[in-house]
Amino acid sequence: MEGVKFTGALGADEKKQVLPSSERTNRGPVAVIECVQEIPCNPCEKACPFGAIEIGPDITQLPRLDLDKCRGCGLCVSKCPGLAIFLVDASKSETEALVMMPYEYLPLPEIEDIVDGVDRTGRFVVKARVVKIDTGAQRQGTAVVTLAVPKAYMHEVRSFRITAHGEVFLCRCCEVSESEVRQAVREGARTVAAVKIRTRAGMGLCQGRTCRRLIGRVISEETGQSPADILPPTSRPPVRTISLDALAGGEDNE
Amino acid sequence: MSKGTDVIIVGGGVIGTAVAYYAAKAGKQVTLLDRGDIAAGTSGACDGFIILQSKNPGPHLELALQSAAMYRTLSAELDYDLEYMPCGGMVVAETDTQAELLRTLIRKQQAAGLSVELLPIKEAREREPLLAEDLWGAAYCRDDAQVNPIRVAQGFSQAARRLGAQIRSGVEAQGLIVENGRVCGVKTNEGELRADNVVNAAGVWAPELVAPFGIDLPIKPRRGQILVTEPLPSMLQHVLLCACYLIAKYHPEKLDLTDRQHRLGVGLAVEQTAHGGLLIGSTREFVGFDRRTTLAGIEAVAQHARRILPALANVNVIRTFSGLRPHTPNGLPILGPLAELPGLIMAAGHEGDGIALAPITGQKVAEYLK
Repeated sequence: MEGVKFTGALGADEKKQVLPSSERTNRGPVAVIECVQEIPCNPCEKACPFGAIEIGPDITQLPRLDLDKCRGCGLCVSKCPGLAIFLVDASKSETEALVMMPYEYLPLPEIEDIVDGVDRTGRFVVKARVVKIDTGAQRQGTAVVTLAVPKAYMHEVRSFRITAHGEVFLCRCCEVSESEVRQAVREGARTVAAVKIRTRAGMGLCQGRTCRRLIGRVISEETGQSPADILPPTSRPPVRTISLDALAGGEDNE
Repeated sequence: MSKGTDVIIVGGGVIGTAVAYYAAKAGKQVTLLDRGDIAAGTSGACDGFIILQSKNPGPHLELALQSAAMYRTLSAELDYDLEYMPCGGMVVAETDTQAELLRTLIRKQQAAGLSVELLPIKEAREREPLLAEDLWGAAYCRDDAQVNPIRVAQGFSQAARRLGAQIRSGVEAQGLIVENGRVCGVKTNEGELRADNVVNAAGVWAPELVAPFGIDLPIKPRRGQILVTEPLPSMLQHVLLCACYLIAKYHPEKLDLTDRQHRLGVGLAVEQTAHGGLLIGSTREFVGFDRRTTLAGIEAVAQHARRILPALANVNVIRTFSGLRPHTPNGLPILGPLAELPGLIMAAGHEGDGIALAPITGQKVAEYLK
């Protein structure tokens, strides 16, 4: 099973749908909108000062990017709440391409740092060099980092890991680190629920929406089980947070 | 046939792990089996009340008092943070009738040595400012406390392991081995295991183990649905119950079954955990082994919580869950040897008191082991 729905990352067909041609990337910077789920969301449309992004009155439409109108300013990169917009530029060098991405982790890297460039699922792809870090006010708290990567990987590298700083949090809500999750698996946890009960990973605000696949992957790496055979945690209502008042409804007792 | 051990414990909840710890501490060779995982059943789906004033004077309250005293030093003893908080507890009364019921219970509890007093709403609100102004008041006991039940089971199990116990999750007890009328082991999915004693700490699943021998244990699953909120700054100073809880527990005949809240057995049980989230419960329903949550159930719990604590209206609920409490007809757990099956020792049927009674249950049951 491939694609965002099953793995949380774009599949081959989905990439084909969103990635620009090499002709376009060689011409200069261009936005790459990796948005393939018809979710009700449209901040990118307003973010573009050149009118290159269109969603229209039906808010669940996928954004359409006009590759000629896009000037590669990158303003949309920090405006996408799903962190799904990147900027790719293959025009500056023979060997390297620049990839601009939103980065909502701390600490931030420093310019000229060599970091681990990782793909859409967090797997290591290639070493990358930090060339720019934008934390200006117009970014509204989302840092935008530009990496230089070998051209062959410009459509693969979508985030990075700072190698010197070690600890990675798999569950951001409860701040459970990758090593804690690995330890839980080594102590016998074989399902996402078993990891949860040992570490609290997935008990926070997002209820595991972010971390359950990552935890499944760690279990898979540690045990050799196929990710498809690892039981997901139990889903329980509500689907998203709801106030107690709304849950209680209007009148007491029916 | 694997070589024998002193005791096999069936069930890795707070009760089974407590028995494992105290038995290992007493020098026994212990093997604990759980077909799932430690705290994967009822102990991972409940609140963490160590509440004394919900117990009936007599053996129930005596055990609870001893258990509560053990909890005070248990984190240090197990070298594991159980998130124990000696916060005190309140049982809220909405009406004169409920206050009368509490007064009767409290008199007996005071006579039994429990420090508990009935506070009119003004005084109750001085201690717990978020209580609704138009309630009657609340019974207050400073010795009530709370703990994280998952960590209790993990703390006991890890400490037992350090003392040499074998903790085997994913191993299912499929049946008892009985020879010459005496229980001498357990058949599992990983072969047969021999032991001098078998402890049945399987909670709501305890009857399964003895049913083939014609024994009908009066333990029935009773579902409790609980809401979980986002992490919040400190809002509650105590663990809170309401009198409806005690009515549903001890006087089900007084419930008005035309009322949905009563039909679902809703009695408020609210605590703020060490991580800031509130656990808001709970229903008390006989629906077999169905562990789903229902809209009717969570709506009724939310309505009741809003009635008692109006300030909770604006907090966000992030999850609901339910657990199956091992209910017995007289509200007391089944502890000790089973006359019909020598060698088998029961430690199940605690319903909503399993957390409060786990340490003392573990200690007492370990004393029965030969």
